[in-house]
Amino acid sequence: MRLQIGTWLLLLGSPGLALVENAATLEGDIEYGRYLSSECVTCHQVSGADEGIPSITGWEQDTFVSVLEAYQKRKLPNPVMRNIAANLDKEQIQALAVFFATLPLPE
Amino acid sequence: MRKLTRRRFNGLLGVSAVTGTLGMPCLAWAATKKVVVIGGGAGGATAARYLAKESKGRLDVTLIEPSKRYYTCFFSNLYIGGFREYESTGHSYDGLAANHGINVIHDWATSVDGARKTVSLGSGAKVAYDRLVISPGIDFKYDSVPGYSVEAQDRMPHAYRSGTQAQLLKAQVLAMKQGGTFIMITPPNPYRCPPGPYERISMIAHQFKQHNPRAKIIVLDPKGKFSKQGLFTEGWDKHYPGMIDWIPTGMAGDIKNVNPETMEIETEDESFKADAACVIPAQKAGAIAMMAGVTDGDWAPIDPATMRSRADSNIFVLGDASIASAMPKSGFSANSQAKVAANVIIAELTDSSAFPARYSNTCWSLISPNNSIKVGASYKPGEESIEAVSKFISKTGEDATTRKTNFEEALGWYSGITADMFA
Repeated sequence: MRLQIGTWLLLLGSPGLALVENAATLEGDIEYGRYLSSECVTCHQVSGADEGIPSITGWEQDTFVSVLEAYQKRKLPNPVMRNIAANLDKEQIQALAVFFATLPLPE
Repeated sequence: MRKLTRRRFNGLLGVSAVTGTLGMPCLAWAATKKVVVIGGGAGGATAARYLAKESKGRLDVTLIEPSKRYYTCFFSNLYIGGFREYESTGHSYDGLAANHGINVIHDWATSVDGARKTVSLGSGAKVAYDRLVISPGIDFKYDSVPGYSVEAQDRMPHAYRSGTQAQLLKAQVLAMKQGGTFIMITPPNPYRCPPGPYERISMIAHQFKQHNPRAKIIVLDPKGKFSKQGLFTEGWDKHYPGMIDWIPTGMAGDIKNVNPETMEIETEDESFKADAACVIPAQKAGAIAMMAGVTDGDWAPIDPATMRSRADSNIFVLGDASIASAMPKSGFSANSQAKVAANVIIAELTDSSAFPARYSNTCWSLISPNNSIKVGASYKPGEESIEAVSKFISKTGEDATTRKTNFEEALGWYSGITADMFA
């Protein structure tokens, strides 16, 4: 299932999924985000390639946070992501958002 | 032009990194700390790569792996089922050498001297370490199946370390006579890849459905139940009705003997004649773990927060060979554990932060075309062992779209993990 960033934003526009406000750039520990990202990049490739698993590089930080929070609230369906999001706290999500924002968008 | 890494710089100065070779303390040179990794699979390749790249060149990393090309055990079943080309499961080590400055040595590690902190190689050379990562995968307890041995593996392949054996098994499956009987003997717990044998049965059934529809599959299982059993059984009944007979040894009795010459398999209660067979014996940690003195019985106990061996504080054990408790023995787990170990080792040997360990695993299994199931969990270190935090598993009766999405996810994961190991 290839979900482009536009589709994510559409999903986020649905009722009940509010974007994080005033969060264009979040406070987040980039080194911590880099460490935490090691858990993500087995599936979400750092290159931004998206075969079967969506690309998450270069996202707006507030979008990144909102999507993970949506998984925490079980508003998005994937059970792997629900499980992962359930084990991330606010600080960790922000660190990840800051880190992944530094990676280039796919070509 | 190649980047001038610190290791190469030391080399240009003619400084040997081997402790004591100069006959004087190396402290004046502040010698780069050395990490040696034994085993270039999901645990070892990932560990070597993360040690090299996350330390930003501050560590001297060596990887010892006999194979020049690594064929993943994960997805070997998809190759057997006809869903992947063999070469697509093969990966070279040139990226680790060229992109990360890792010294890739294609040789066997034959012994470890924990006191001197050296690894001896089959060629006779020795490699020194400050920290050692052992990730050797599994070896087989051949005599757990009476009559089975390494000499029998060409007549009754285990094909449980991929490579040539997987190709052999597939050839034997496709060559089996029409209406013949394929017999699989599955291993007792604990073993590598809990759903693996059952995905394999699904893949063989898929081949038979197309090429040999009257063929039968008998599964002789020392276990009374198996991973994702309800899901596999549902899939077998739907897609391969009447083809697969799963017999736990509670019903047929323990295996008394297998005869690779006659292809006869005897249990306490019954005798079977196989036209083709797969025997997966009981397993233990790869031999070098035993030889390094880090095992207790068949497997290596580790500290759950670091993957450090409980037997030697300079040695870390990853993947199948380790006792990682709640985590299954899988490529995904080994890759996850490798990153924790790399983070700890880098922190110990350079002045950087170690973050708390986090582990995860997901296993996907293909039952039939576009019909994949999954199981997985997140884990954390407990006081004594690694513990599951939360889990998920596919459900029976799921719709086709969900199962197809699972399959596509598995393909994406494979691309991701192999890049994470080798790129």
